[in-house]
Amino acid sequence: MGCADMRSKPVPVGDDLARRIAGGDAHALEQAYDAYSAAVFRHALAILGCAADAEDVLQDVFLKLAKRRGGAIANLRAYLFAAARNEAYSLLRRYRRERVGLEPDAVWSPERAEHMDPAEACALSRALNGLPPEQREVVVLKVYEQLTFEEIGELLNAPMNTVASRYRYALHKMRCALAEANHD
Amino acid sequence: MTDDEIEARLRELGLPSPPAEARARVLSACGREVARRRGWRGRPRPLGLKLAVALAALVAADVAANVASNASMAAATAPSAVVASAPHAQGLAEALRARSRMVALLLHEPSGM
Repeated sequence: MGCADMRSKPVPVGDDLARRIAGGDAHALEQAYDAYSAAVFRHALAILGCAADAEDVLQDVFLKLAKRRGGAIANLRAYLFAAARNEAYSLLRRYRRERVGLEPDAVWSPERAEHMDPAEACALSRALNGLPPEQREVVVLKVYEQLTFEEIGELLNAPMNTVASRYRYALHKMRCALAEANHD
Repeated sequence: MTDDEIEARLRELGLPSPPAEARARVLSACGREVARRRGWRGRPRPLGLKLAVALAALVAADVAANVASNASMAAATAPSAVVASAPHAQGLAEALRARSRMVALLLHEPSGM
């Protein structure tokens, strides 16, 4: 899959879309879904590690957008990322409180990597799934959504250096996990 | 393995996307919400809501009258220099006196002002 496909598709009418959604335009909502649903889903999945929960977050985020009233949204993409993050962490906190076990192996499955060596795909998938949610989130936003550390920092409301550190730690852990898998 | 190599492998690993059936489900839930909002806008207001709006308007008018009354009392008791610098307060005081005269007239009593 090329890099161009990984980034959220640009919205054809810019952030005018948010205004149209607020006005009850169902077609605008469809356009927003087509442009951003994959990114919202991936972001939620990176945090939660469960596709079913990520789907719930996706639905909640778009429902909130449809229900939303009040001030204009300056940047719809940033709004949706932030909404997905809030929903996902709120669900994660509830799971932790209720001590519900998550299935981290469900985050990425190696079946999708058709052109990779299955053993390598499996090792990489495990390494990614083994990261803590905060680090996995940064990796997903950086590698798949192609956001800069600055953009990620704004989204996470965290200093850019903190974001960059999380990323470095994550890659270091993955490198160690892959080396270990190669030894086995 | 370098950072760039890990990134490249991750991209190769592929991106999970929401299942195709999620689109219909999400958009249908959103559509119901949009329709509900439209329906609510077009519907006549229930009596309780009308009463609440009327009550809120009365309370707001009363608060405004109190504020005006306080301002005029302050103007009446303030030193003349301050009163002179606040002509609108004088106007309010005058309005209050006029209202008192009107009330007194209605009650057939001397205004006392």
